[in-house]
Amino acid sequence: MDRVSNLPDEVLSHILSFLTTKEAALTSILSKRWRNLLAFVPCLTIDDSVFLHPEEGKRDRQEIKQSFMDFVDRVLALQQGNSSLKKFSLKCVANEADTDRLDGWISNVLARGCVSDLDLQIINKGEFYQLSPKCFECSTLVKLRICCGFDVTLVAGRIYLPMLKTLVLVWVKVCPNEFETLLHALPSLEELVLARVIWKDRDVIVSSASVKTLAIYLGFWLNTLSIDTPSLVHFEYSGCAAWDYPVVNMGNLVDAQIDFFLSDSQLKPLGEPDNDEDALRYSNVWKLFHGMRNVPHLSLLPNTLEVLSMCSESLPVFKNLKSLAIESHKYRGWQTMLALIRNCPHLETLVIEGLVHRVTDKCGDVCDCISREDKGLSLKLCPVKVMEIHGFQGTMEEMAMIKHFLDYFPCLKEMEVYAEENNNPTQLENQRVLKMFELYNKLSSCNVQLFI
Amino acid sequence: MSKKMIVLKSSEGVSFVVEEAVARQSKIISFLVEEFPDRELPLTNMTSEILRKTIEYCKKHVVEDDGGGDSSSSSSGDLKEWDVKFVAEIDQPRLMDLLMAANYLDIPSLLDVTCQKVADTIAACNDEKEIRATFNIENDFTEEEVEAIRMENQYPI
Repeated sequence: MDRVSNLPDEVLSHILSFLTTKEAALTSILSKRWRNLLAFVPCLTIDDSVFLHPEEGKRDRQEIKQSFMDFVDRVLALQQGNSSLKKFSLKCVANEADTDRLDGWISNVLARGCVSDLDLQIINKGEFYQLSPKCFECSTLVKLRICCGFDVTLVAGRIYLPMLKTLVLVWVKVCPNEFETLLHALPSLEELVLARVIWKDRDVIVSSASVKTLAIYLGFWLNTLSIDTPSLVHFEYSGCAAWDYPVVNMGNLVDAQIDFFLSDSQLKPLGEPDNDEDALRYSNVWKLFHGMRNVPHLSLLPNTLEVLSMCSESLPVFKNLKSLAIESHKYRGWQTMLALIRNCPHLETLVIEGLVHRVTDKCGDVCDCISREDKGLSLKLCPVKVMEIHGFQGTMEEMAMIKHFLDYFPCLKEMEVYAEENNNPTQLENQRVLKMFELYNKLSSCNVQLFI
Repeated sequence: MSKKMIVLKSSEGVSFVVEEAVARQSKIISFLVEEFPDRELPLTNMTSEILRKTIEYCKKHVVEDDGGGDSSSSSSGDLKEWDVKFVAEIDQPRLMDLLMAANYLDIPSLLDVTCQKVADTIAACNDEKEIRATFNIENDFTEEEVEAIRMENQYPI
């Protein structure tokens, strides 16, 4: 027999697990040796788009869809008794009539008592698909990802996922009360991703004693958002905000990234002090930051800087903050930077992605956009030692800002400037820019380096 | 600090002196080292060429746990790139030998990269005829049987 066919069953099925289930099934025609290997594959990846070529409109053709469903039935029947199935991934379009069959597949797989990873992505035409509560009763599941068009209805007494470490919910309907009950029933949960979840009610509580990594993407405004996660280490927040944050408990946080959504139409009223309505929307955002005040590494995106300018006075002192990364945008201002730098008494590293930002008269001495006689003292008191500037374009405005930082940060030892990728190199190789860097290096006690 | 070395012997009787930490990535060797310390370990089903390749892989993947060492620990991205290059350079017969060595010695990460390469080769084929030709697989089905399986696996392609 040939070399490949001579491999033991478990090695051959391991090889097949790197293929989609459709590709793996095709090998059953190679020879008798390969006939039933699919029965032992530890990882089933079923994706109807591979079968149905939706771009050609085949998904709508009933007989082809039928053959896809028959195929899945056959694979699961062949796999019956496979006690090494670890991962089941199902991605398909379904309608009302298919739900029983889909439920049957999920129950079948979970009933094996060996599956650790379940990944469901079912797009239902029209209504949201009612997810079988069986997905929340499995003693072996470690990772559960539910994506697209599900209505997750939970029955309190029927949640049993003692091993679950990772829960990912993307664009599913969830009732906040039931969700709170769910989290309390997950003793091993470490990673939680809530992306564009459609909350049935606008008051959401994320409460877990064990969760270490939390990513929230809010698709719409909430009334209140409470985050009670004492073990949290990594926090990522993006999208809309909430009107209020009654509880924010994350005292062990190590890094956080905050990226609020702000449309251009919202941006304008934000700048106008008379617009109470919009100012009020963001007025409690400081509570979220207050809960994160012990974080050593913080990363803020352009809209967040703009939103924070609404509550600069209420910003907490980040007494443990060692590194701050901010990203700029030419239509978003730096008004918050003044308060931020003032409130980070132990800052060591400042990373700025792009120096170009919207010019306002409220940046104080942080930037050099508007020249003033009296620059203030906030930079003079900042202990930052290392600065990284990314996305450098080589303009004279940027050079003036770099000079400003070198003049005003008293403890600066290292400054690394990275050229914008895909930038026209001729501008950066401009002798004048290079000469200026040379000069800056000589004149200041800081080591200034340009990376092109 | 001198590192503990062990000796592995190939089927041709060639001895390879390897750091214990490197060799211990094989669960089998790890077990044998504990059972038979200070003994040469004969690997009679592995040629020198394949044993050398296996050791090369293990040296790259060894995790330095003596604290200060950045000597051979690479970032995971670099390591992935290195793995891809490592299996890309191997022809099919040797890849099969290496895969069997990984299976025999029980080195899960090496088994993964070699199996992935075989899977990629299968996926790159246009039809079953090409897969058979690539791996010299003999078709021992009758025409009727082939037809029956084809009916069973009737995919809309």
